[in-house]
Amino acid sequence: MDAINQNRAAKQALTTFKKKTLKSAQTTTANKIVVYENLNVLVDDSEAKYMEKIDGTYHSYTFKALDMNATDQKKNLVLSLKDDGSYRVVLLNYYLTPNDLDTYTTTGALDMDTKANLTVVDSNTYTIDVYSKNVAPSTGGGGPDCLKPDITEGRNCIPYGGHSYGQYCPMPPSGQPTPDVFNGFTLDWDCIDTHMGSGGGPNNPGPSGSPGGNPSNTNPNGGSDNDNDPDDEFATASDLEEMVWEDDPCENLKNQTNTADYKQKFKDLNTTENFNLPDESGFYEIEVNGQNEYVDGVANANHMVVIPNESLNATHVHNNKPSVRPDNTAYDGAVKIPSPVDLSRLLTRIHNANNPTPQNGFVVSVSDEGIYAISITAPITSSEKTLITGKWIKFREEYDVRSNYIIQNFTTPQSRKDNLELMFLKELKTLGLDNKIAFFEGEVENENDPDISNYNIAWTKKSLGRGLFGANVDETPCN
Amino acid sequence: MKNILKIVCLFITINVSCQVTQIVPLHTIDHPIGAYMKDLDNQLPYFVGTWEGTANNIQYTFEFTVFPQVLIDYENGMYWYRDKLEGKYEAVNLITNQILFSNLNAANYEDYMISETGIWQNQEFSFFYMDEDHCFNTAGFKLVKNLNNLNEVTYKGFELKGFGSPMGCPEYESQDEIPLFLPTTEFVLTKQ
Repeated sequence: MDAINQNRAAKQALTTFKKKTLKSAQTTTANKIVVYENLNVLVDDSEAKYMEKIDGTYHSYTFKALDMNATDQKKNLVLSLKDDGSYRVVLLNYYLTPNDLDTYTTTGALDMDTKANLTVVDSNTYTIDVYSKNVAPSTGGGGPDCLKPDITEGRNCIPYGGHSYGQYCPMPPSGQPTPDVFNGFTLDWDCIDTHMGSGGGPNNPGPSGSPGGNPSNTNPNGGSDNDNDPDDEFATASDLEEMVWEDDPCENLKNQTNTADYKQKFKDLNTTENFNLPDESGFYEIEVNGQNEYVDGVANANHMVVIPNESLNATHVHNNKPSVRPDNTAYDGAVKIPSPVDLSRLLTRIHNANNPTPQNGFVVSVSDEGIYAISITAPITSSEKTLITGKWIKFREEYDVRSNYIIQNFTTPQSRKDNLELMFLKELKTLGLDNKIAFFEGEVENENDPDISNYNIAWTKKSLGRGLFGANVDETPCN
Repeated sequence: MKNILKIVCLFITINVSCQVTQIVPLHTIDHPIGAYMKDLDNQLPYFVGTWEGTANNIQYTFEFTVFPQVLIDYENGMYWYRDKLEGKYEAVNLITNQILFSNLNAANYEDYMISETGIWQNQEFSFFYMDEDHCFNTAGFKLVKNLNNLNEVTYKGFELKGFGSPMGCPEYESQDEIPLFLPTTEFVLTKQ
């Protein structure tokens, strides 16, 4: 990736591609798996294979990818250099069975006629064209080989060099042989242009009619360098890092919970009497006749406040739940941190109602063990939501197992609270939402002051401590 | 959806082999990656088999199975194992003889809809129900051992636990609208 970061055109191509196809990119420093909306692929953009022609006139960067709808189908995302110095973005699809790979690694033979095609993401419109025609002839067919298999060669028997993997080693070697590893393919578009008549230059549409490049891009050193281009974001080396909104989640939450209207509704809700009701109580903000209003929620048959689709935010009580253990000792069976339902409402109804600024949405829960809020801090694409939904059963079960244990075994309110907060943050991490959902605890200041302007909810942002499964909750006051 | 999970596993398994790093009690909450939350006290097998009971003219049949050392993994490298007690059930209206619901033909772990999620004093067992096909509708209930007759458990504490997922659920506005045939009243189940 260092090479790409130093290559402004390649970097721009990848960054712009992300913006156009994802509208956002989910990457983290630790794990750069990127979900591409519309294309149904996951791309590992932490590492690229660089291929260059001997004469230096052509090169490409190839990333590993997987098809979300066909788990056994590997793909490659290729940045392929165009004549004008910018890059064509190509998805290389190949349909290789384990037998195909075995045959290839043992004999070198591979029938590419029926095994591969190209998906080109148009550089201007970012629509997708599938090149269904063959991109390389069959092995032994006598034509050009525009797809280059990318093989990590195995290690031979070191003391008796010349032995391949699988061959008999006559003496115990100091290093055991290892097999060849098939990584995928790299692409030589220049070869395809030449031999397949596919075109693709700046003024030469490809076979499916897609324009090849941007004629206005004439920078011979690689890509557009128009600093007025809003899509041109390669001013810093971190362009390929995680995309987040610039809004400070603390400020967003403070601003929205600091109005007199909100504070009065919150103050009325935050009472012991409400905590002891059989039904949840709460309110949500919604547009009524062109004006935003806070509306009291109504509990459904299972005692939960219904949050309508159009809600911009929601604030509700997590009620007490008097329970008795088998040995007749009493305990409060309520889990008083944000629930999975709170999280799903935030990610769906409230997220959608706040579009295009979902970071303004939040869900606040109030109980006798604390005031909590969750909000969205970074774009979450529909593909990412699909991925999260794939983990939803595990998340719900783990949440239930762990919260059950905590509320039964940690008997003081503070120990329950501490462990539930830590559990919630860990569960966000398992969902991959630790950098996309902000978690806050609120504390009321000047609670008994009759002047609502002095009543205040002071928020503290809570996050998981360092480490893959950190054991601490870091706290950052929203000053 | 299961394809997505497999993809996630593929990415993980390139560099990570999912080995057990430590064996800990079944419901440990603070454990290292790779921990195996094992039924060290052998509490789960008690429920294995078929349990039947009647409530409100509906015959309920529950079947429980233990799936040992189930891998729970995520694409960010986090994984652990847990022994799982999983259940399936059937509800038959005794007046009309109509099968209201049945997933007793479930054979694979993924097809079971009921999971044990907590044990208190080796007597009260909490269960979590999820219906993936109906907007991830969820509910919970408890089964309490009758210490005087271990062939009986009391079904109690039914509660709805919400529905929905990050994909939303346009079909239902409220959980009341989602079909669910678990018993809602307390009654006794007998081991068959």
